[in-house]
Amino acid sequence: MVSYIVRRLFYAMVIITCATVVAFTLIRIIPGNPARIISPNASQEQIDQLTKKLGYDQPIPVQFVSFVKDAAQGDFGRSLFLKQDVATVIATSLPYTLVLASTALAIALVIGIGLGTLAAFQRDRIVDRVVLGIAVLGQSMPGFWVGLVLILVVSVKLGWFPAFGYEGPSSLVLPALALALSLLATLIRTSRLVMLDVLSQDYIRAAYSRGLKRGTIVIRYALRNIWVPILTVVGVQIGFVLGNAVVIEYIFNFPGLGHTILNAVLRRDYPVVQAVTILMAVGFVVINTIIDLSYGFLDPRIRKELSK
Amino acid sequence: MHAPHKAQEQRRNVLEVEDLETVFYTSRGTLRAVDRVSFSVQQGRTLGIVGESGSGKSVTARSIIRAVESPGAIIGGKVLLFGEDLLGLTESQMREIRGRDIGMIFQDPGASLNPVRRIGAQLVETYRTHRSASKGEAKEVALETLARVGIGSPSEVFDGYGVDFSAGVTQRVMIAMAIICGPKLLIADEPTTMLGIRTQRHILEALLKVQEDLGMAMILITHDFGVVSWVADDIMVMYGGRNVEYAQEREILQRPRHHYTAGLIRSVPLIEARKSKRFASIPGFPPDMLEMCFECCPFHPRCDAAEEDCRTVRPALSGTHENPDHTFACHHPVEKSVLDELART
Amino acid sequence: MRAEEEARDNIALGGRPDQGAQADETAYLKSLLDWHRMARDWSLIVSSGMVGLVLAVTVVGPFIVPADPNVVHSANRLLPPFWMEGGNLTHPLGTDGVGRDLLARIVVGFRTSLFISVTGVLLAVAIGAIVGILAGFVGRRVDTVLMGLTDVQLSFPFIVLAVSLLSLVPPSPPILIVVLSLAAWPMYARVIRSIVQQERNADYVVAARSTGASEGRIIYAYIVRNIVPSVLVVATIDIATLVVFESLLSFLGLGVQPPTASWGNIIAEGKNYLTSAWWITTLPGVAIVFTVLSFNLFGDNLHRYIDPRSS
Repeated sequence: MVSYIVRRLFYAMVIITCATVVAFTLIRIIPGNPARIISPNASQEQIDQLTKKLGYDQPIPVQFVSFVKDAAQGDFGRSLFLKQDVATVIATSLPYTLVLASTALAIALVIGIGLGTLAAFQRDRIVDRVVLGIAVLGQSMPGFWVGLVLILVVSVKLGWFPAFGYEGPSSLVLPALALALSLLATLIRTSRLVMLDVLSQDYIRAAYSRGLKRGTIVIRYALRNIWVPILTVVGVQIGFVLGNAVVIEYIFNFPGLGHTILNAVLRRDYPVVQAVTILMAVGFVVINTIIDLSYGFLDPRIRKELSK
Repeated sequence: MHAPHKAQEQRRNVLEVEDLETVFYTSRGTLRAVDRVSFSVQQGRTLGIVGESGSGKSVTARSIIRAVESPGAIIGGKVLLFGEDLLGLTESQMREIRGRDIGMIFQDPGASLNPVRRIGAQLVETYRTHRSASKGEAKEVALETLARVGIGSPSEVFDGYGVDFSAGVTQRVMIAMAIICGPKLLIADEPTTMLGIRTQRHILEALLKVQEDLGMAMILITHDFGVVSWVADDIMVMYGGRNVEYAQEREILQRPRHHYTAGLIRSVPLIEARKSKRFASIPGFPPDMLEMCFECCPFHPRCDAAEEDCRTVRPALSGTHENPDHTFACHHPVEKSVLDELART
Repeated sequence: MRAEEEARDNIALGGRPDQGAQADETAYLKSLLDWHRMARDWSLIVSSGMVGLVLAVTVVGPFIVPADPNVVHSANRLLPPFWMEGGNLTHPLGTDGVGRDLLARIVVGFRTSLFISVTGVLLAVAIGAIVGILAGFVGRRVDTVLMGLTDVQLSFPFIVLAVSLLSLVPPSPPILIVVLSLAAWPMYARVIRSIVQQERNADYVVAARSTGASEGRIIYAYIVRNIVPSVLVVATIDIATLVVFESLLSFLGLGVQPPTASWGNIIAEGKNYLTSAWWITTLPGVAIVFTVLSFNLFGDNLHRYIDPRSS
């Protein structure tokens, strides 16, 4: 078991390293000199000076090494536009994104799994079909469009929640809903399928034959067995959620990481783009690693398999 | 070799099933899984129900505890537990009976345990559902029961998970789960089918032991005539959802009257048989339950002795003058003794 | 003697189509699809209809709609749809910020999005197939490396990857197609690899190999045949997914550039007039939802009939 954990962590580190290298390299291959972006009107001499000062004239592997050295000390360079350290930029916007993503995740999990299991119990009846319909529809609606429609209907026409920027917790509602939608729909379908599979298992039938109460069977036998496949799905979908967060933050002017990176990309603010990309990749890998490692705790069969 | 048979005195009927009818409504038609089947089991005695897959034996068992899921439905008959018709009870009354008065074990022991919870927790929970007891008391009963079914280290099993133990141990655990509340009837649905031959013997012995300890009636369902003749006092043979023969074990073994029963007995590999004897099997395939005729003998396509009336008239279950307790449903029953025939080859 | 007869009987009963000649191909295809059941399956019929409608609009739409999607007419700007006050039937769905007919632009959007998505999926399948077959067939190190590559790719949330990539190069349809296919190929690589791994050691494949069939013929006869159903199902649903991605990128300004109409960039424009002309933002989204829904439903239905392998 321990060896598995170690191997898994090592694997995660390898992936993070690869991702970092790729991000770093890609950004440096592009044509165009970052120095010129900072001061588009400077003379060639000044450009050359600036390039040298920023270290962009060094060969890429050298740049990479110095980047890693600096990064280890918390220095991710300086934003080309915002007159701030990249680290500061990230530190100010990261919490917003974390809160937004967690809220969306919570909404999606609670409602998604709730509706999905409900549909499984009411298989083929009206409730099931309605819930499935909602799920399929939800999976077909692009997040950015939903965000805009929510702004239009809820914020502008109804005035219930603010649409732009961050004015307080109520600013979270609409963006979180828009962000949660597609994951929610996927979770409805997944948890329905998983629950249906669990309900067909022998141990459910055996529990029923022992006269256990319905509630006991549902909670302690059925629900306890759905986590492994559901967490797997969540792990895969987290990537899409993080990606969607970028667009949702853009639409709602929500001051999070996604908003930052989008503006950085549109303005060619490479140090920021680089750092945020790597950060997001790291986040994704970390979440998936945690999920992978949790399987052992959730299911004794997996624990046994891993201990071999 | 046989398990010691119990004395023949008049015993209470724990379970009496009368004309049970269970059907499945499918898109291709209505399937008569249990077609007017009747039997009874007495305290301390074992009824063996034998038949191929699809003969309706498992559905019968599930019908007794009313665990038949849609598209199936019990549409007729009576299931009397100590005289009370279970088919007339409400679901919540039935829930009390399951586990407390009737225990059931299934074919795949590994799959019958909740994989993510400890065995002990599941045992305790079962006990406390039907009897008011503290966790501590329930734990004691659980450990006792685990020992009773022949588990050498009860506390190790109590703290473990299903995946940690072998099939043999797990099946014993399932027996413990079924009997922990002291039921009067134990139904075992193919309990040994998935086990190796030595373990089969152990499990059957364990079953007999707990039956004796608790004075339970037992129903053992299997397709293996060898297994059933070892354990059962009475045997009911099912085919195509119907009861085709019913008699005491010794009687049916020596003088089967239905051709299907004879075929089953012939197909049990006997160590005593000579090496030249080929494996006798019953020719043909199990019937398609949806296409089966009502007014006929379900076995007639595969039967050597089939005549015209076997195709057109449903044989009724009846005994003979000499032996009214040995009932069978056949127009042209077997006359010779099968065992003699086997002895001669 | 009896053994031979029985063996022949078994083959006749089990009847793998490969035993006979290519003449059995049609019989095999027929056995794959349960036409009777399919004809009565409402969900399949409706979703096929929807997909058909989408394809029809894509192919024929621009010829039917009278207005020109690119004509700018500032006097007509921000006209509402015909059912609202101020709207008229010349511009049934209204006009956008510079007076272009919205219906015409949405219809062009069908072409844009579908062309890009379908091509993207095809490219993704091609890449995924190569990777998957290599990984599954050659195995060992090649497999580990290729699967590691898949994992690294998956570790980047796609949008971040796409946005970063597209910030480096000027967006154009071919670039867009390549970027989208980069998002989609890992799935095919995985699916195809696992099928290849399952099949290469299947009994009938081993039997064929032992009778001297070449690897190439094995790949075609057994493996490709088994890949097609699964891939088809995933591809149908992927078309829907890529349509959404393309709209997203176009919305952000990194996809299809105006004046070429794409649902995403129409919505992006509409964002500026959100309160004054809601139809510019809303209606293209309806087209997206309809298209995505129809491919998703169709793919799901296909899945039930064509892919008996999965649970």
